[in-house]
Amino acid sequence: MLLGTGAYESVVVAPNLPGAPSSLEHARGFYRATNPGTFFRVLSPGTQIVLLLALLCNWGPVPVTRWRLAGALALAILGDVITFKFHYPRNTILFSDPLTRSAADLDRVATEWAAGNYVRIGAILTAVVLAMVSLIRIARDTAPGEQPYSNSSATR
Amino acid sequence: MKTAISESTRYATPTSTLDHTEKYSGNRPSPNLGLDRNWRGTVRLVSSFLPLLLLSMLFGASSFQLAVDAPNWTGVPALEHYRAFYPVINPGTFFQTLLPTALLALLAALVCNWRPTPTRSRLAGALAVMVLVGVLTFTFHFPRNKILFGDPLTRPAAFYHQIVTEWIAGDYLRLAMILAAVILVAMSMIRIARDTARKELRDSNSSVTR
Repeated sequence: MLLGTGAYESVVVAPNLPGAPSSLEHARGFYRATNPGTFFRVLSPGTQIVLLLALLCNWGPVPVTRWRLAGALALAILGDVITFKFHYPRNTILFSDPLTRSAADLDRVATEWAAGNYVRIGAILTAVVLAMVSLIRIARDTAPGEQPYSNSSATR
Repeated sequence: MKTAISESTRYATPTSTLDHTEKYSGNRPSPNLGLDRNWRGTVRLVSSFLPLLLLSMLFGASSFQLAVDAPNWTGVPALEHYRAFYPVINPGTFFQTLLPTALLALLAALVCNWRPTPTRSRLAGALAVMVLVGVLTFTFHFPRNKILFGDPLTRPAAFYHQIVTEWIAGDYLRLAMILAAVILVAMSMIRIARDTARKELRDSNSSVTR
């Protein structure tokens, strides 16, 4: 879900941000009842909690699965670190502060925001791939008729 | 008198003379994903992974629209701001690319996993559900999109409120259908992972006994 929303923001929202101040005035005029932040503040911690649960449930049997899930969790947290450190200051400039800066300055901030979002999407995509590979591995290890956790010794 | 076999004698004896119960020795080739040598298994897995990724993205982006965009369509001024904010690219462009891509990926997954019947049924079910999503979008959402985001905003606010309410109700249905497709594809992927693990196990066992 996070990957889809991140891609949606990059493809649909970010290309419309340049053209300040009118583009930003329209964005501010539109996002009154809810804004993307409201959505991500629920979805992002939710994803991290689910990943943490998956990590705890799969801690013991196969170390490689544990490391993949831990990597996915670390990347999900990294996505939030990027959000807090990189995107939040730019969100404030673009969507909260008075639009007193020059248009070029605001467009530069919007372009930086879009570039940072690509990094965030990269981190989330890697986390998704790690989680999916873990799911495949767990499915294989728990297959009926399969020796449970057969390869754990080989992967240690 | 019963003769006890010493440990060293027992280990020196060929396994065939002890019993035929096959036990895991710890060194057989494993169905490890990273060491996957079965290319057909890999194709089957990757072909189910791609639609799962795309459908999850579609589910996420649709949820975003429902949770973030739709509650802001609260009147004519808000709709005017919305129209003015999307001059370069609009949400339709995103969904009109992602939905056909997901459908194609699902079709490819179905072709690559035609043989096991339960997997085929699940993938065909997911494809059918996603075709229905497309039909729902074209027949239900597109006319309302045109009213909300295309036509001149000349009607009373209550009319637009009614259209937005209908759009949201339809979107809940669309979201439920996408979620159903995601679950069906996830179940298929798990099944394929298990099937290919068993096949690799059989292959490795047969190569050991050859």
